[in-house]
Amino acid sequence: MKKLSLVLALIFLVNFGCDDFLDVNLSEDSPTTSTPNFLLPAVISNTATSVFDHGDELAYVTQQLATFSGFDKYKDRWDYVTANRVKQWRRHYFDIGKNIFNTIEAAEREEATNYIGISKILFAFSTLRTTAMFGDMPFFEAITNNPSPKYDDQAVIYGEVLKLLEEGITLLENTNPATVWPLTAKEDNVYGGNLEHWIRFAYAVKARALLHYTPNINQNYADIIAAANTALNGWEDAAFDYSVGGGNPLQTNQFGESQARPEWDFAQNTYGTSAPTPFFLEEVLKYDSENHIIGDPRISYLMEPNSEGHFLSIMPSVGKVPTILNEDYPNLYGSYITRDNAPLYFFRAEELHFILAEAYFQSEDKPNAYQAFIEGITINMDRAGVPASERTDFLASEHIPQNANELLLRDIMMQKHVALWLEGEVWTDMRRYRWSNQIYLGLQQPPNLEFYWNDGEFLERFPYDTETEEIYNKPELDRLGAYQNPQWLKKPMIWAE
Amino acid sequence: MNRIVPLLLFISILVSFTTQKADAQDMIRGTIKDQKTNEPLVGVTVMIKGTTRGVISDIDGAYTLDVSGITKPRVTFSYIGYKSREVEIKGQSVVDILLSEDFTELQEFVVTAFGVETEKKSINYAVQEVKGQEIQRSGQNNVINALQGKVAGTQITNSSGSPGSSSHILIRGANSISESTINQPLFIVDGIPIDNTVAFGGINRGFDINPNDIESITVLKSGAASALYGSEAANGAIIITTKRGKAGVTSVTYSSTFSMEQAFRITPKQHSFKQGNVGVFDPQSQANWGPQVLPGDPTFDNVNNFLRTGSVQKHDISLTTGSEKSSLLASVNYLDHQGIHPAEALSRFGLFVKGENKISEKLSLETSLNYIKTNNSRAPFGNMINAYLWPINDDMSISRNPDGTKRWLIDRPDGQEWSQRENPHWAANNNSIKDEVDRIIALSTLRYSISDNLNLTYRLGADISNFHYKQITRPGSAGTEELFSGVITEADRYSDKITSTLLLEFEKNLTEKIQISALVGHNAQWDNARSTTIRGTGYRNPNLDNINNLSIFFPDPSQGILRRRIVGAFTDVRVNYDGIVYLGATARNDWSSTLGFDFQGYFYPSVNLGVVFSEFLNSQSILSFGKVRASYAAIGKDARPGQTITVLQPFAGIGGGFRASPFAGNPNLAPEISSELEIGTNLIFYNGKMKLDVAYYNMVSDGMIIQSRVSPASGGILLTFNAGSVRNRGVEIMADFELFSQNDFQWNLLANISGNRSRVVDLPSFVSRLPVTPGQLISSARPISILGEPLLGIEGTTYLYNEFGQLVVDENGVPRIGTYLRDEDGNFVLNSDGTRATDPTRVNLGNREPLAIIGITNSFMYKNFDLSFMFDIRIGGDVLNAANATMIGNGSSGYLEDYRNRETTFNAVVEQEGGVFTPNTESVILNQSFFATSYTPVGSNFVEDATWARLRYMSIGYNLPQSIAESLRIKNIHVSVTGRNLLLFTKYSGGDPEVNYAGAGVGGSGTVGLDYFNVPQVQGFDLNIRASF
Repeated sequence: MKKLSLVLALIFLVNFGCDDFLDVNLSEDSPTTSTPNFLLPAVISNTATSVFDHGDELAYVTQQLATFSGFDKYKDRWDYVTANRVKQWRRHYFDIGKNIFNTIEAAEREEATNYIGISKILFAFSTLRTTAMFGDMPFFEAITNNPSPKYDDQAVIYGEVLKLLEEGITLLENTNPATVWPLTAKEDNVYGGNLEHWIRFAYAVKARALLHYTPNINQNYADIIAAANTALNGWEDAAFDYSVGGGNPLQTNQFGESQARPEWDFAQNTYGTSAPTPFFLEEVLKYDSENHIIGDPRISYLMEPNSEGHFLSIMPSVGKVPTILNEDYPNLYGSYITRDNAPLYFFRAEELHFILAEAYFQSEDKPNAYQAFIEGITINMDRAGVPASERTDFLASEHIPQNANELLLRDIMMQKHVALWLEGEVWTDMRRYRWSNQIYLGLQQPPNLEFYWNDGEFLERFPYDTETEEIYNKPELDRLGAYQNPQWLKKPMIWAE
Repeated sequence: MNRIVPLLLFISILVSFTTQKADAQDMIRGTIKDQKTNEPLVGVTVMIKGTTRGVISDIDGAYTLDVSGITKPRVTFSYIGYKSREVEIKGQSVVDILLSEDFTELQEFVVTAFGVETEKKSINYAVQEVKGQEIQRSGQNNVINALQGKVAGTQITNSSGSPGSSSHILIRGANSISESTINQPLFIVDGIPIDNTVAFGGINRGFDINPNDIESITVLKSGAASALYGSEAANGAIIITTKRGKAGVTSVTYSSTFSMEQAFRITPKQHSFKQGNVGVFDPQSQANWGPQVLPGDPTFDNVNNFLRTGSVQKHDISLTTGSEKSSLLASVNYLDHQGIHPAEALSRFGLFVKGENKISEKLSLETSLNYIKTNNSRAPFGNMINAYLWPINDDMSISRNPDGTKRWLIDRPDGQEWSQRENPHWAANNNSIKDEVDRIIALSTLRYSISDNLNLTYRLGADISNFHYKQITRPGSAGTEELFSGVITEADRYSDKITSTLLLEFEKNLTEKIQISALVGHNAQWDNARSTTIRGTGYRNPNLDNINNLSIFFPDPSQGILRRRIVGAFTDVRVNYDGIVYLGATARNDWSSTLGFDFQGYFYPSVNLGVVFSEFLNSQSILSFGKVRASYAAIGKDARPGQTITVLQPFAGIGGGFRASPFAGNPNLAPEISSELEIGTNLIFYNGKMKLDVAYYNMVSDGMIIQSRVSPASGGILLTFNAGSVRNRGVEIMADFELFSQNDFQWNLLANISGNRSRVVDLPSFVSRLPVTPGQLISSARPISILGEPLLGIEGTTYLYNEFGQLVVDENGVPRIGTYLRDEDGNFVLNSDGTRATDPTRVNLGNREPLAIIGITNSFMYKNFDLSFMFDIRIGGDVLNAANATMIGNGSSGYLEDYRNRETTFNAVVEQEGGVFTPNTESVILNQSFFATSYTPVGSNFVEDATWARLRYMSIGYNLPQSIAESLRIKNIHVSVTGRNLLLFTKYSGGDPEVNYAGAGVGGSGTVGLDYFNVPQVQGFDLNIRASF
């Protein structure tokens, strides 16, 4: 028995060093952590992808575009009840969120407040876009490896967005770029490491977020005006620069003609088989379809007419006229946005001007509203490539109020609609004004929606991903009434109720 | 008893005679013979009881044993299949012994844990042994296939007729649901675990073991048995014992086999319609919906013209020699297999050496080394598709134009000729996948006898292999623009598995009737694997298939390193009360590196009990032996390496750097725990002429390690976590009948019958179905696991039926697709127009697991002849005939021969408003558009019952008469002819229903029962000559 106990002791001893012995479940072929400079580029690039997804999908909902077929389950029929892999959901939490968390973690280790500040601002930017699509969503338990994180109230999330922006601004204001981890154009494709610009961007996002609550929840226009003006003071457009790309699909503007699809589960633009809607051509761009008379000169810079010089449109969910050739519809590629190497705008100056125009207008300050309104149109026309003479003619035309007193809210919103071509933020505007025909003149519900859409209803929100949320967060979906419920798509956001 | 009485008498006389002799002496000697035949018995173990001192009888049955230093030694004589004898030595120096055959007891020894042989009688759970001879008789090159029909409770599926096809084995069903968890049993060779995984879609590596080197295989099915091997045996264990040298015998055996083989069953293809659409010939079309072949039109049997006759040659030479102190076995084997697919061939060279040496009375050493080199050329899964879909009006065998350029089926002046069907002849001549494996399995076992009842064993094993993979897709290949420009993928994978096992065995008679044996052990295992993959395109020289000849390399990350370590401590204690009651318990604790830090250690026990009730019966009973047994065991199973951490991936976008991997690590990963209850009985009738073993088991696996798409809000896309539950239960019956035994004639029948029922009891959160990713080949149906249904499920679309079971057609007489939607109260949901709403989504369509598997082996011996054949019967179980779905869509299915253009009025009803059904009166023409819209989109059309009866092999052998053999100076010559897959009776409409699309490398429910254009199974004829010198 002595020997037996010796053997047992030996076994015990061998197992004793277990912690080290078993500590091999590590990756030897891939890193598990990095310094922040290697992590921020993916955050910024994925933000560009997210902005593309958002603008691309909503261009159809906001009736900037319609498909040739008229049968697209989502773009035409709004049959989102069974939608899976809803892109923005994944973009926000995984492609952006997880990488931001990794960046912040790495930056905190290095005390790189510049990286932390930018990460927080970009997270606020993405959170705002996401909650404005889905409403309630996980925030506090998100990105913690919990497959079933609790959903937080949309109102709370708005508060957190503003908090993130404040934290980001404070961090950047207190950063001395000379003493922290270097941030150059390689890591920061948008602003090349210029923290002043990032602070302005944060104020711009703040102005956008605050505007969401108007006019239905509050009338806090003073704060919006202050934020927008702070942003505009020295503003430079926040845009992802694809001109430095090497040409692989991840380095190509997804709005462009090569319909870049970086990975198999990325969406491609379908502008080759899409056309503007009658609402967008005739009401927004003031095009006379019957007589083919151009109103807003931007029409020729956003798209290319057919060989006869005509711009044809397609009513959403109706599809193109079979006898008309595809190439007779406008060519949507080649505009200031829809090129492979065009900048992809995170935030355009004109949006800030239209935010100001709306806020001044709503605070009864028509002169400032008018000035911002004209400024917004001018900047956008310049951006679209409209020659100054055409711009001047248009500004002097019957389509534009000639003085502050003639300015109507609908002028601002319709001009914002065209200035934010392929920018999903216009959907929020339409919902805030409850798809009003007083503001969005001539807007009609698509005629062939999925059966559960009643007259006069518009898409108010996107469903939670059926493939993941219905499985892992069903109790939360049940609590919200969002589980397999078409009515959920019609439920307005808290600021549009 | 009649035979025993004289024996006892003889012994008592012998004993009493010898006791008259003088006092203690040093040596005893004698000869041991069969009591019935008086033939000397070779290899009888002669031991001094209570010690480890012993010898083995030589070729003449003679032995000499040193009994010095032991007073009144008791000597035991034991021999497998014979009753053991015990003799007290009271001074006699010659002890001759007659042993009688033993039928009344299950005195068979089976190898259970770590090379420890255990008397079968004392085992309280189902264990089944297959002798080497049975394995060799089946004529299989892959040892797993040799077990088909031989072991109850196993479902063995050879993926295809390719020489390098992997074999999938499920023991008592699959117990892990996740695709990333392979449900394959652990392979143990001479006490050490070896790798049986599938790398790069190739063969399962158990193939490397030469069937001719195998002495026996024990299959441990139960959790109680597996508890000793730890986590890796959670799906059972295949325990292989190799041959060894025998004391006193030097012999050389040469065995040679030549085989021919051909495709057994080919998925039927139509031979009546040409290329085209809607009955119009179109040489630009890939479809075969063209016009009827007219008399005089040339047609080509492209599938049969493509396949060839395969051939196999196998050569084995082995030498065994040995003395009392040492023994040696050396064998060299070579296999060359040319498959029926012209691009497929496989060769295996093996060198196996095993030596045993008794260093001293107390210490012995056994060492073996097995080197294997395997070369396998193969075509990818499903590669037969192009041959099956090739138009019959075109001669596929012409793969080149007269000028030597590649001949395409369709002219594509736009330069996109790659965007069409590949010509299989061209691909077979140009493209290939080549696996080259160099493998060494080495082990050394040291045994030390500490005292009379305490033994120590230490074993060190290594399984090391180097895998080279090369896939060549030459410029000009069809498929994608990239493949057209030529792609080479080359990978090197090194892997090793090192195991260290320490065992302490203790055995003692506590009282006269109570015997206790205990085993305490420790083992440690190191698994390492690293692979590097390079993939590139852009041939500089179009004729050089070398990676250095490429100009563009893909930027994908290409290195994989996996490491795993497991440490286990275990014990197995058994108490035997007078050979009547056997009580046992095992306990094991494993620590695995692959689990979350707090969950690395896990404990799992088992208990078992057996009672030999026949001891209480009248000795005149026809029941010679009867035992009932029960066992309960828990089994823990760890995860794959690398699941607890999250890595960063290179980011290819602007700015570069890294991004989060979509695979989120889970630092809280815990082991899967299964628990199994088994009850059974062993019965022996008529003194061993009938043996029956029946077992029932119920196994539940909980907290399975699942990798699944989770909410991205978790921060990952695919997370590995513990969830879900699967239950398997079933019955196994093993019967061994000696039907006739007289004079020169013997007839034995071995039957294995089993059925397993699986059920997905729980899935994570609110998941209702887990599809099998590689099985998603057609959109109308796919392999899946559905909550509440069998694990190996199939889901798909169906035709619409009403509540009376009538087929519902539309007003034009065309069958409708879907199911009627019902609300929570079971009422039909109505559309706004008053008609019933339908749900077009997929429903549960079948179970890929058979209801019952029956293997019946008959063996006859008559004089020098032996005959053996096995019927393999499968009852129930479905196969998803995805090949036929694709062939119907394309217009090339044999089914269309009968049905295309037929006019039919379906015996069906039409739904009217308000749930009223009126009989269908409209007829429809079954044309291309009907099949496209109303046949191929309906998955249930392709789910077929795979019941079969198969004559899996038949082997006739002849032993040359001793006189002839001796005149040739040969001990023995045996000649045999074997036919494999000789007959198959099945209603299955496709090829062979024994099919597994993606092979044994797919975990979870896998792709067993998914038929999709693999190389057909083969029928083969073997000629074998075996000579011993």
